[in-house]
Order: sequence, then structure tokens, then C-alpha cells
Amino acid sequence: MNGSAAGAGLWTCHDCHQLVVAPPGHAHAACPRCGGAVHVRKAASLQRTAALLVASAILYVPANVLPVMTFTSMGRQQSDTILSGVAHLLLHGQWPLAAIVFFASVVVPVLKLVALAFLVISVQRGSAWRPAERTRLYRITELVGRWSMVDIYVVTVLAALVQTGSVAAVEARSGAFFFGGVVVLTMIAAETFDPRLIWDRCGARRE
Amino acid sequence: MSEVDDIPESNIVTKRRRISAIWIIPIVAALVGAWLAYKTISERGPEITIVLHDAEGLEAGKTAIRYREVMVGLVETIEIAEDLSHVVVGARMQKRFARYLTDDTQFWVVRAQVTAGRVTGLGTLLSGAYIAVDPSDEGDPQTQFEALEDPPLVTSQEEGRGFVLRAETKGSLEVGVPVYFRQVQVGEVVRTALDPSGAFVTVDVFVRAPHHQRVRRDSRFWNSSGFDATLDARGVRVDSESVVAMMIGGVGFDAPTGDTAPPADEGAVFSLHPSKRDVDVEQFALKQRYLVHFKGSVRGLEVGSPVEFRGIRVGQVADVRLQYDGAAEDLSIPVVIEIEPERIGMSGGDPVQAADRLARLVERGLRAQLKSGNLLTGQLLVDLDLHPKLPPASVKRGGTYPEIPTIPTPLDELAGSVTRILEKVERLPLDELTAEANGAIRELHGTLEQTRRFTEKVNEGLVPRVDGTIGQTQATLAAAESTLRSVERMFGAESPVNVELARTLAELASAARALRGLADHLDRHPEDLIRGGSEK
Repeated sequence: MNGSAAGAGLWTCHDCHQLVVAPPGHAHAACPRCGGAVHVRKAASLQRTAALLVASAILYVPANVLPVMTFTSMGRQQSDTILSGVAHLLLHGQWPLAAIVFFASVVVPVLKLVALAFLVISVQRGSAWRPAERTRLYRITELVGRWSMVDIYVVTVLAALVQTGSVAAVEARSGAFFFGGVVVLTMIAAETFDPRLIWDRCGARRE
Repeated sequence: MSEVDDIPESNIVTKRRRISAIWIIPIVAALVGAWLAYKTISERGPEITIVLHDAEGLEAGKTAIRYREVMVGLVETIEIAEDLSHVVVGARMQKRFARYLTDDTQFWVVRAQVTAGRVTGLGTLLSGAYIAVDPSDEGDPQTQFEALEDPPLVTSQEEGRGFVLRAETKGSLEVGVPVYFRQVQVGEVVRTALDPSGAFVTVDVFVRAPHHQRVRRDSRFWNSSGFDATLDARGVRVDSESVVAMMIGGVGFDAPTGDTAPPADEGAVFSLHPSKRDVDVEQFALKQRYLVHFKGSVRGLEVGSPVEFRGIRVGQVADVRLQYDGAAEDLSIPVVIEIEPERIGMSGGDPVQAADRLARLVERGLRAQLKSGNLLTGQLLVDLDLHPKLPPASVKRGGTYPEIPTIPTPLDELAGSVTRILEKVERLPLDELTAEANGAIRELHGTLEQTRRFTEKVNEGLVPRVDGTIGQTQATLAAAESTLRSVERMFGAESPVNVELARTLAELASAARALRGLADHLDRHPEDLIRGGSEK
């Protein structure tokens, strides 16, 4: 860990970013200034990220199997899952919309899961393979993750606005909650992942 | 390291646990997922197949199976049978519903339908068709069903009673035709089918609770289809249960003895009378048939035409047909009439006695006669009446039915005399008469014209003067009269003057003749005037 603060035995407070001298032989410490927790890296980062990833992967199944919304129009009721909604849009020739929904609701969550899983595994295995690219991957993952909520926004807005009795009514269904869970959990997972871990190994190798 | 020295030392925190609490999240997620999966799998009900004629309006994955408009299953697959003869629908039912899937369970497709007198399933116009189920927990469990062609009108949950009617013909009795009691709809026709024997039509009706109590063992059912317009010897009559019944038909029933008869059992069999009138006719169970022969046309007489005794109905015509009498080589029209003795107060005695009574009546002059019942329509009726002045006759027995003697129709007699008069009229030389009459009329016309002109002249010229002189004239006339009287006395036929005058006149006539002879002679011999007459 040469060349880094950690290598020099310096940690930063998570909350106030106060640089502190690490207590030798201890993994946990408290900030003398604000009392916040101080670790050399985010505590149990890999473990937490992995746990959240597992949870979101589990939730991803019902999120895609269960319908996210029910559209009732003139007595005709139609329940759509995310994928059937995309298919619907495609069938009706709305392919730009279909592309957006597909990208935001299907591609992004999957990519996020895959990317984070890849990062966690690679860090866990102590890989020194292309740390800069992996860091960029992490950045993109974190940046793009919030946009997967588009679907949820659409459902909530529609459910709030389209309530004209029997003419047309939109109702959010359980799939939406699971999908929201997936998005939130992956966002937290991205947050708990400590990208410095990517470089820790590289630093060690370089030394 | 001076910078480093400035960096404060961190406070030491002892590590408390090794495994992060974060794992609770995936565990919870896994639990939720597992619970969902379990719930889904455990609630998966039985899979059934329903055979349909066609899948109009049905969609795999969308079409619901509903009971009382609540979804109890979902159509998952729609396939065509291998022999293309029908459609097989695979559906997943709810688990709770599994025990109601038995032999007796019925499925049918609900679509918007406009049937006899009712419109159903309008909601399906917007929401699409669905499959309805009439569950039953009686019978063996079943997973393969054949859907009904038409929705059953009465589901197993409905309270009431079904009855079977036997009709001669189906008439307009379609499924769904209402059943009326006192013109109130209390049920429907649920099925019509030809009896396997082909002898009659069975009509299943369902009467809803509590009205099924109204069907008594002695109830009589009749077909009140359309309206019963009767144009017979009694005029026009129109009977109908309701406007709906007029349009689509209906079945009526009554309870002649009210609540005294016990209620009819489920599935009791009744006969369906063709009309309410027939029900009333049926009341006279006792019928005696007689034969009557009429001379002349029976146009207007038909089966059902009334038989009356002095205007009171005692029966009806049962049969009218043309018959060739091989022995006499002649055609005759035997009319079979049914007399209901109960109508004529003959009840009390047995049929034989009643027949004897009629025979005795015939001996006293009872005769059958065709009479016009309705001049407008030309309907005839058979009139029975006593004609004591007629030569005695008796009931002819020996044929299928005893025969009542007849007398000619008053109409026939009238027609006969009218014909005779017409023939006489025809023989008159009408054309010549007309020509002469025309000439005479023309002359008469001329005469009249002259008379008219003359009269006008008289009126214009004479009358005013006449008026003035009438007074004088009257006086003159009176004088003249007296003068004339004296003249008459003087010159009457018997008067001497007259006699003298006659003699004088005779002499004068002979003198005139002599003078004429002289004149002729002188004319031929003018010389005689000078030389005197010469003797020849």
C-alpha cells in the first residue's frame, strides 16, 4: 500500500473526511473530530455489496415476472410486466419509446448487477487486471443506476394521473415494488462498494 | 513526517462482529421471493380443458373464467383439435374452486347476446368475452369439460322448479321464452327437444321460486305465443299474455283449483295446449260425435266452427271432408260435430242416456242447419233447433256416428228464389225495350218543350188579361149557363126544335146534293142555261 494514504497508515473519516493515523492492529477506529467511524476502506465493503447484489438479484425475478401495472380501459383490463410492456410498445410501432424503456428497465439493472458482481469478484480474487477501466466501469454503473427508476416514475405518474373511472385507470402492481427494490438495492450496492479496493491490489502488485 | 505528526490519532474501536448485518437484506429478499414462489405454486389450481365450438373473443392468458362475475380461472392455451372439429381451451382454475369441478359443472362462453326478449353480456362488448362456469360439487371430479353452446338460462344456484311440457308442435317456443302465470313472468323455457320417439316435443320450463308453488298438479299449460287472433263465427278476438309474448311467444299456465291441489313435483309432466282457448275447451271432457250431411256448399265451415242450439254453443265441428259414395256414385260432405252434453245441462246422466235424449229430440223435430255466423267473414255455424212442423225423422244409426237429419240452409232458399227472379229478368227483351223507351222519351221531351213554350206564352200574354175579365166572364158564364139551359131545353135531343132541325138539315143536305148535281151538269153543259135542258 505504498504511495497511498492507507500505505502510510493514514485513514480518513467517512463523515468529515478527517485524515487520521490508523491505530496499528485495529481495523476499526473512530474519528477524533466528529466521532464518526474510521476505516482504512469502507467497512466490509465487499461483503455488503455482495449481499445487496444477491438480494437485488433475487428481487429481480419477481420484478420481471409479476405485472408492474394494470391498465383498465373501457372495461378491458390489461396487466403488463416490464417485458410485455416493451413488447407492446414495439407492436404498436413506438420503437423509440420501447428502446428507452428496454434500456432503462432491462439493460441497465442487468448491467449494474453484472458489473458490480464482476467488480466484487475481481476485487475478491485480488485481480490487478485493468484497474483504470474497472474504475470507469464503476463510475458508469453508479452514474447510470438511478435512471433505471424511469419505469417506476412512469408507473407512479400514470397511476396518479390516469384515474378516470371506467374509461381508463392505471394501477401499480406488485412487480413495480420489486422492481423498485432491485433499483434501490443496486444503488446502495454501488454506494457500498469501495473503488479504492480496485487500486489496493494494484498498488500491492506494483510494490 | 511532521505532517503526519499533525494528523490526529484515531480512536480505537474494538471489532464486534465478523459477519455483516447486511446479509439480512438478501435473506429477507430470499424469504420474500420464496414466499411468493410458494404462494404461486400452492395456489395453482387444477388445469382443465374446455372443448368449445369456436374461440370467438377468447384470448390465451387474458380471458378469465368467471363465476358470478368473479374471476376463478384463467385461459392459458387455446388450441384447435387435431381433427379441426373444435377448439380446446386449456385453463388454470383457482385452487379453492377445484372441488366444484365435477361432471355437473357447466361452462359456457359469455358474449354480448340479443336473444328472445333479453339482452345479455353487454359488458363483454368492451371487456371481451369470458367463460362462465356454473359450479357443482355433486358428481365425480372432472378436468375435461364440454362448453355449452348457449348460456344456460337457469343455473344450478337458482331456486325454483323445472317442469316438462309435452307439446304437439314446437311452435315459436325457443329457449328463453317466458313462462307466465296470470300474465306475470315467473320462469322461462330452458330447453326444447324432439322426443326420441318423435311423437311429441318436450319443452322444459323453469319456474322460479317462489312462483313454482303456483304450479299445481292440476295446472294446465298453454302456448300463448304471439297473439291469438281468432276470426270465427263469433267475430274477431285477440288474446295475448303481453307485448313480449306477442313478439317472441310465451307459455302460460293456470291453477284452476288454486291451492287446493297439491303443488307439482320437480320434473312433473304436463301437456302443453296449443292455446288458452283449447284449455277452456278441454274442460268438457265428455264429447259425443254426430254426423250431419248438408246439401250445398259448406264454405265457411271448418273444424272448430261452433255448434249452437238457438245461439248457445253446445259443441263444435270436429271434421269436415269430402267423401265419395261408391254405392250412390255421388259426392257428399259429411260433417262430424262434437256435442258436449255437459254444456246442455245433460250432466248427471250417463252418455247413453244423453244420446237417447237427443234421439228423442230429433223425433220431436230437432234438425241441424247451416247458418251464417258472421256475415263479414262468411263463417258458418251449425245450428240445432226444433222444427216441430217438419215431417218426423229419426237419428240414423249404423255409420261411425249417429246422423242428425238436416234442413236446407235459409241462405240456400233465399239464394234459390233470387236465382229464379234473376232468370226472369234475364229473359226480358231489355235491348228493344230500351230503344223504344228511348224514342218515346225523346218525343216526350219535344212535346214537353212545346208545352213549355206555349205555357210561357199563355203566362205572358193571356193571364193578365184573363184576370181582368174573369169576373165578367163569370157573370157572362152564369148568363150563358142559363141561356144554354134554355137552349138545351129548346134544342135538346128530344126537343121538337132538334127534330125539326134534323129534318130540315136532311132536306137541306138533299137540296145541297141536288144543287151540286145541277152545278156539275151546268159545268159540263153550260149551253143548257140558254137552250134549256135536253132530255137524254
